[in-house]
Amino acid sequence: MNKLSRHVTAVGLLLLGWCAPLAGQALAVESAYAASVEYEVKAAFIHNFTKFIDWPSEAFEGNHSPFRIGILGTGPIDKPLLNLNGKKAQKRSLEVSRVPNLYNMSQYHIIFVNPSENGRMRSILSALRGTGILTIGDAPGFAEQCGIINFYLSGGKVRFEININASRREKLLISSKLLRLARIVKSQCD
Amino acid sequence: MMRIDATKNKRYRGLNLLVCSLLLAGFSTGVPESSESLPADLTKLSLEQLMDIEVTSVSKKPEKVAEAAAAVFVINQEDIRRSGATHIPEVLRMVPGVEVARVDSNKWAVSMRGFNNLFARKLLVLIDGRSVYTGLFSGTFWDTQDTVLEDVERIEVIRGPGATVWGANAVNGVINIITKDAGKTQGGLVSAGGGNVEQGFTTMRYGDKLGENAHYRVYGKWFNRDSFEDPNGVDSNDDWTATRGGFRVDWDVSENSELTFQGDVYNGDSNTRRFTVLAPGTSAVVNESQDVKGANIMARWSRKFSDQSDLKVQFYYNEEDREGPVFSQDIDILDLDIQHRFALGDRHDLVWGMNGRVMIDELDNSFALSFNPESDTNYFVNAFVQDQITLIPNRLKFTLGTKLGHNSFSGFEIQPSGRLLWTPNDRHTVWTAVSRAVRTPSRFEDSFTLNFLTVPFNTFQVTGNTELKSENLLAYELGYRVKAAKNFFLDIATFYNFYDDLLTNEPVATPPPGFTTSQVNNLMKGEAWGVEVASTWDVFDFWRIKAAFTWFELDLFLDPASQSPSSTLANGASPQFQVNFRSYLDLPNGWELDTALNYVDELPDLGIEDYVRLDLRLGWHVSQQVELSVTGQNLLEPNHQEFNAIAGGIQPALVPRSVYGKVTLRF
Repeated sequence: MNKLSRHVTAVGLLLLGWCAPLAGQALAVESAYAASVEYEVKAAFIHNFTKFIDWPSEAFEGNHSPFRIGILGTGPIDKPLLNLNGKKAQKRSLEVSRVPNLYNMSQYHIIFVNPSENGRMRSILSALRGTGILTIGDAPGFAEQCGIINFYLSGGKVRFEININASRREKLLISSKLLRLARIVKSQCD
Repeated sequence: MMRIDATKNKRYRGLNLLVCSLLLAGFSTGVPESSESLPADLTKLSLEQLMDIEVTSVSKKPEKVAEAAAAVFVINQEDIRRSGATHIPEVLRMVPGVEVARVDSNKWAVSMRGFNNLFARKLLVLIDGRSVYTGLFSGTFWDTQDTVLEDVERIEVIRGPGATVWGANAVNGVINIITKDAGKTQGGLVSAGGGNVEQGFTTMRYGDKLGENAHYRVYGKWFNRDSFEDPNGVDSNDDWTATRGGFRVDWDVSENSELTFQGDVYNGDSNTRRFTVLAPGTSAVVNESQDVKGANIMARWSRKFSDQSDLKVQFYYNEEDREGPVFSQDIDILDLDIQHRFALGDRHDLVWGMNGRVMIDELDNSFALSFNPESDTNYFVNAFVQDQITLIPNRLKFTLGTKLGHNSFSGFEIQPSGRLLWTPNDRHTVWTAVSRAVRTPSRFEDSFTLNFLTVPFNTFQVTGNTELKSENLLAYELGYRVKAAKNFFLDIATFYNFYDDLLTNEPVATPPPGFTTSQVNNLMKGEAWGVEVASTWDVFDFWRIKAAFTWFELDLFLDPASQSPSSTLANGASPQFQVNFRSYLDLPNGWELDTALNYVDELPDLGIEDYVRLDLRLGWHVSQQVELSVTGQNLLEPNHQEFNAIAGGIQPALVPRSVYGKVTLRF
C-alpha cells in the first residue's frame, strides 16, 4: 500500500506541476499557425533560380537596373517572396511587387502565378507568351500549359518541373545544373 | 523519520515545479513567429540543400520531433559544426537531461537522468543502427566512437526508457547517431587543424556517383591529442591518437527499395594513468598504453510496400579489440535485425521486429581484473511489437507496445510501455508515458573479479555474481512542446522514475584467505525525478539562441539486508542543476561567432566542484569552398576537473583551456 501510494503521489506531482499552465495555454493560443516552411523554401528556390537562368541583356534597362519579380494573385508565398526585396540577384538588386493587372507586365523578369489564379491560368499564360518573362507556378498542369517552372511536392520535399519548350520560346537560357535537378516537361509550346 | 522528511521535501519541490512551469508557460506566449530547425535565411542555401528540406512529413513513420511521445532532442549538423566540438561526447553537452563529463583526455562519462559513471550502463548508443556500447558491460568506450563529424546528419537523443523499440539497456535513454546518405555527401572535403590539446587532426572524404542509382563516399581521418595534468601538475599520461577509415554506399535498387552498405576500420592508442593492484600487497600508479582497434561492416535493405507498410532488414558485424596490461578484450558481435511496419485499418499503425545477436569474447586476465570464464559466447534474442492507435485523427494517439527478450544472463524479460500523444493543434504537443525497462546483467557482472586495493596481508576485491537479476525501472513521464511563436520553440519534459534491484556490492561472509571480498547483488531501490527544458529562439534572422536547463534529483535506498553504504554514491554523482546556453551569430561577409556557456552543478560524492565552461568559435566562410575557424574551449579558467572515476582506478585529470584552428575545403 505504501509503495502504491508513493507511485500515486509521483504521478500526482507530475500532473499538478503541469495541468494548470497547460489548461491556460491550450485555451490561449488559437490554431492560426500554418506550416509556412514550405513557402519559405519555395521563395528561396525562386531566389536561387535567378543564378541559373540567363535573361537576354535587353531584358534590363542598364547594368545596374533592378531585377523585378511580380506576384499574380494572393497566397502564402507572398510574404516570403516580398521579403526577398532588396536581396541580390546576379549583382542586381531584387524588386518584388504585386502585379497590378495583366496589361502591365513587361517590366518583370519573373512572374509568380499563385494558385488563386488557377481559374484563369490559360489567359494569363497566353498574355505572357513571347514576353521573355520567366513564369513560375504552383499548380498541377502549369508546366504542361507552357508555364516555364512549376513547383510540386514529392516525399514531403519541394521539387520543380521545367517545360524546356516554353523556356526556349521565351529565349531564356537555363543552366544544365538546374535542368538536372528538375523534372523535364516537353509539351509543345509555340 | 528520515523517509518522512524526504517525502515532505519532495512536496515542496513539486510546488517549485509548478511555479517553474507556470513561469515558463507565461514566458512562452506572445513572442512573434519562425521555424525551429532551419537556418533563418533560406536564401543562402544551395538548390540541393533546398531540395533536402522536408516541408511535410512523408508518412507517419519518421516521426517529427514535435509528434514524438517521448523526450526527444535533435542535434543537427549546424549544431555540431558550430559547437566546435571535435568528438561526439562533447557535442552531447547541449542536450538537457544528459550529463557529459570528460574524465581525462580520452575518456568520457556520459549518462542521462543519473547514474553517471566512466561506463554508464543504462544508456544505449547507436551509430546508423549499430549498437556501439561494448557488449561486455553495456557501457560505451567513447574513445573509439567516431566518424567524420561533417557527415553526421543528426544525433537523436531520447531520454527515458525507449525500451519498447530500442532494446534492453535503453533504460535511461538512447543516443542515436545518424550519418548522411551517401547521395548527400558528394564531392570532396578536406579539413585539417591543430592547437594546444588538439595537436593535429585531418579528415578527407570523397563522394561520387556509382552508376545511375547509387552513390558512395569514402573517408579517412587521423588525430593526435595531448595529455592532461592531474591536480598536482603531474602529466596524466592520457594522450591518444587514432587513424580511421570507412565507406558508405547507398543504392536505390528500385523505386521502392534501397540497399546500404557501410563499414569502418580504426586503429589507435589510448593511454591511461591508473592505480592498479599488481600482486597481493603490491600496488602502484602505472602509466599504461592501450592499443585499440576495430572494424565493422553493415548491410541494410529496406523495402517500401506502400505509404503504410515497409520492411527493413539489417545485418552487421562489429569487432572491438583493446589491449592493455590490466584489461584486454577481443569482442566480435554479429547482429541481425528485422522490422516490419504496416497499417491495420484506419486507426492502427503496427510495428514489430526481431533482433538476434551473438557475442563472442576473448578476455585476458590480469591480477587486478580477471574473468571466469576467460572467453565465452553469449546469445541474445529480442522481439517487440508496438501499435500506434489513432483515437482522434491528427489529435490523439495512443501507443501501446512491449518488448520481449531473452538473454544468457537473466533469462526472459518483458518491457511494456504505454504512451499518449495529444496535439490540440499544430503548435502544441502534450505527451505522457508509463513504461517499464530493464538493464540486464552483463557478461562483466556475471564473471569478473576486481582486486582494487591491497595492503600487506590483505587485498580488497569485488566479484561478479551469476545469480544477478535485471535492474528495473518503472517510469512516469509527462512532456509539453510548443511552437510558441514562429521564432520560439519550447520543450519541457518531466519524469518520475522508480528503480528496483539496483546493483550493490555486498560483503561476502567467508572470503578466500588474504582477501576481503564483496560481491555484486541487487539490494537497492531508487527514486529519481527531474525537469528538462530546451528552447530555441531566433532573435533575428542572423542570430539564433538555444538554451537548455536540467533539474535532477536522485534518492537511493538500501534494502535492509544490504551492508553496502558506498553503493549509494551514485546519489551525488549527478549534477542537480545544469544550464546550457548557445548563441549562433551570423556576421556580415561570411563570418560567424558562436558561443556556448555551460554550467554544471557540483558532484558532492565525487568531490567535484561546480564549474562554468565557456567555448567560443569564430568561423569565416571565405568562399563556398573554404571555411576557416578558431575555437577556444574552457576559456574561463586554466583548468577544472569534471569527474572522478574512482572505481576504475583512473587517476584524476584536469580539463585544460584549449584553442585550435581549422581549415575546411569543399570541392
